[in-house]
Amino acid sequence: MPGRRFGVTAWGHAWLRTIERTTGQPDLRLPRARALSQRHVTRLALGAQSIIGTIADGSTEQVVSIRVGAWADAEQATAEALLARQSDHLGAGEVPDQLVDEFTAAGLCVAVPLDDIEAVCTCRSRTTPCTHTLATLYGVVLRIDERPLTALDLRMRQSPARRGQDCDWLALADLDPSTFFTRSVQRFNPNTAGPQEVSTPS
Amino acid sequence: MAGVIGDRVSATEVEACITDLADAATAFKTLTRVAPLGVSARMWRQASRAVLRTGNSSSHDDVLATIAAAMPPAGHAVLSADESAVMAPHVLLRNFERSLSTARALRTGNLRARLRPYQAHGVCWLHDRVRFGRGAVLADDMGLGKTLQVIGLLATRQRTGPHLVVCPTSLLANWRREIRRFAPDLAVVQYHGAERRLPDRLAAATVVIASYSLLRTDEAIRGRAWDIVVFDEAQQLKNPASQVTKAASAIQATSRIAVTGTPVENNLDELWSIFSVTSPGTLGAHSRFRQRIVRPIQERRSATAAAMLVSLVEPHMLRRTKDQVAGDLPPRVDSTVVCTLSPEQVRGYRQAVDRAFTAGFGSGFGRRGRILALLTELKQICNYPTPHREGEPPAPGRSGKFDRACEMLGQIAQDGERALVFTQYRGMGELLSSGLAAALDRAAVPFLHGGLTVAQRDRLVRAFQEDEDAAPVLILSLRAAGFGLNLTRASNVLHYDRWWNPAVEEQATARAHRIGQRCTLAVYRLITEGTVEDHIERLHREKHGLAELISGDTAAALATLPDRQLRDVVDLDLTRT
Repeated sequence: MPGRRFGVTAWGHAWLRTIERTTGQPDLRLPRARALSQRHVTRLALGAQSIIGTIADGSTEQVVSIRVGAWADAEQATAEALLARQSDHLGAGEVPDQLVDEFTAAGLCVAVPLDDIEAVCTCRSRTTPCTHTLATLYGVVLRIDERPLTALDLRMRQSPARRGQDCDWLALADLDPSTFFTRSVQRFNPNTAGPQEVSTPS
Repeated sequence: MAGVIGDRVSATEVEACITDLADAATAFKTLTRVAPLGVSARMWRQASRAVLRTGNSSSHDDVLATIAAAMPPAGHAVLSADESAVMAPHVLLRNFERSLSTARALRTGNLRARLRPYQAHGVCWLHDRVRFGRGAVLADDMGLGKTLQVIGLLATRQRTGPHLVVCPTSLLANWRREIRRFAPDLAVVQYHGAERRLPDRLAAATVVIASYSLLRTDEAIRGRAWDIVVFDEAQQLKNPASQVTKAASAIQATSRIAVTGTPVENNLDELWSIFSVTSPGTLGAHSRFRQRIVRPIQERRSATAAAMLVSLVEPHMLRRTKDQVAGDLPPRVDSTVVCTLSPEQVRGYRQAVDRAFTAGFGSGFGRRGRILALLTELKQICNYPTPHREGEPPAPGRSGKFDRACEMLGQIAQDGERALVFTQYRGMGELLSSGLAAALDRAAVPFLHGGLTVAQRDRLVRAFQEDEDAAPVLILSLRAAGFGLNLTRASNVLHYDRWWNPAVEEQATARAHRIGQRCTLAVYRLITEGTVEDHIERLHREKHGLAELISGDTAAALATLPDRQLRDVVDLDLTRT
C-alpha cells in the first residue's frame, strides 16, 4: 500500500494488528503513540521475549518494559519445522512473508494479543496500556518491518538467527576472553564448511 | 580486529604492519625459533609451511583442518562487517591458501603486470566469487585499477572461456589495449561496427568486447553461453526496468561481474538493480527491498536497516577508496585513457588529411607552417569535430573524447575530489567549460586562460583552492598555467590533448603535484585511438624510431619529415592495435 508506514511486511503487520484492532471503538491515543514512536523512541532493545523502550518526550523520559510470552513447546516445534524449510532465506534478518500464512494455518500466532502483554511503564498514567507502551509497540512494528526475523526472536526460545547462521563466523559474544590467546574454539565443525565448487568437482 | 577488552572479547584497533601475503608467508615459513612465539603465531608458521611446501591444494586440506582445530581466536580475529563476529579459523586458512595460490598464478602466469597488494587481493576475491559461480560487484574508486584486476582474473582463470566484456562504446578500445598489454595470451575480439562478425566457435581464452547497445540487440551475443561476463561502468544497469538491464540479466554466464566506481549514484534502488544482474535474489524482491531497507533509511535514517544493507551487500561487493589504500599507492599514478572517434570525427579527420596531402606542403619555410597547421587541425578534430560554431553547446555523441572526459570528471566530482583539466586550445577550453557545467550540474565551470587579468586568475585559483562551494573542476590553458600557480587541492589531472613536448606536459602536471600534496595524484592522458595522437604516444612509449621525437619538440621534428613518413604518422589507422 503506498504511503503506509507501519506494518509494510506481513510480520510487522501481524504486530500492528495487536495495536490497531479492526473491531470496536478506535483508540484515540493511537495518533499520539504513532508520532512518539517515529521521533521520540530513543532506545529500543529487543531480545528473547523481552522489549525495552525508552521514550524521551520533552523533559521527561519514560522506560517501558514489555514481556512477551514464548510459544509453548509444541508450538516451538511446529515453528522449527516450518523454519527448517526456509533456511536459505534467513540471511540478514529476512523471513519471507508467506511464512506468516503458514504459521497462521498451523495455529501459531505471530504477535501477542494486547490483553496478554505484560507491560510496565515508568509513567503515572492509569490506563493500560499507556501511550508509551503503544508507542514502543509501534517501534517494534517498524523494527520488525526492517528485520522480520525479530518477530521470531520475540516468540522463540532459541533465536533462529543463531541456528541458521553459517559456521563461517563466530559471534564475539561466544568467545571466552580467558582462552583468547591460548585455546581454540571447539564448537565449529570444519566438515560442513563452504559450498561446493561448480567448476571442478573435488 | 577483535581483542580482549577488560573481561570480554570485543572489536578494537590493533596496530598492524600490512605486507604482501606471499612475503608474510615466506617470513613465517623461515622462522626458526618457535619457543618465544604465541600459539597463534606457531599455527600460522605451520600453515605457511604446509601451503608453501606443495603446489597441490587438495594435499594440504587435512593439515589445514588440523591447524584450524587448534588455532586460538587471537589467530583468526578478523572482524565481520558489522563487527559482531570473527571469521572461523578454517575459513581464514582456506582464504589464505587460495590467496597464495592466486598470487602464485599471478606471478608465474599470463599477467604481465606487477599488482599492488590491494589489487592482488581484488583478484583473489574475484576468483573466490566466480569459483562458486557467484557474481560480484567490483566498486573500487576510480584510478585504483579495476580494469587491471578484472584482466588479472581473466588471465588466471583455469576454465577457458569465452569471456565477454560489455562496456560503453567510448571504452571499447581501452579494454582491447589493456588486455593486449597485460594479458597478451588472451585472444581479443572487438565486436563492434557494421562489419562485426563472431565465429560460431570461439577459441579458448578468448575475450569478446562489445558495447551495451549490442547487448540489447545482437543475437550472436545473447544466444551464447559465456564463462565470465564483465559489465564495465555498470551504472548503465542502474534502472531495473530498462532493456539493457533485462538483457544483462538474461545473458548466459557462469558469473557476472559488475565494475563501477559509483555503485550508488542517486539512490539505493540503483544498487538493487546492479545486484539483480550480478547476484539475483541477494537483496530480495525489489518491493521488499524498498519496504525493508530503502524507506527506513531514507525516511528515518534507520541504523538497523543500514546495518542490514551492509551485511547483505558486503559478501558480494568489494569497494576500496583511495584513502583506504593510500599506503599502497605511489605519490602519483599515470594512466593513458584511449578514446574512440565518433563517426563524424572519423570523416572530418580523413577529409583533413586527404585535403592537405592533395594540396601538398611545398618546401622551405612554407612547408613547415603548412604541416604545423595540419597537425593543429587534426588535434582539434580529435578533441571535438570542427568547425564548431561559437556559442553552440557541445552535444553528446559527437566526440568520443569529450564524452569520456565528462564521464570521468563526473565520477571524480561525485567522489568529492577535484580535478585540473589542461587543454592547449582556447576554443576547446570554452567548449569544455560549458559542456562540463551541464554534465556536472553546475552554474559554471571556470576556465583559466591567457585572456584573463591577473586579478581574475587569482580569484579563480583562490576559489579552487579554498572555496567549499567552488566547482570541483578547473580548466586551464597551457600558457596561463605556465605561471607559478599552486593548485594542490586537485588530486586528479586530466590532459585533454597531448602536448607534443612531454616536458611541457610535466610542468603542467606539477601545478598539482607539489610538496604539500598529501593524497595520491592521478594523472590521466586522453588519447584518441588510431590518430596522430596515438602514433606519437606509441613513439614516446616504444622509445625507438624517430629519435628527435622522444627528446625534443615533436611538432618541429614532424615538420622536417618527408611526405611519406609524415603520412604514416598522421593517417587514421583504426586497424592497428
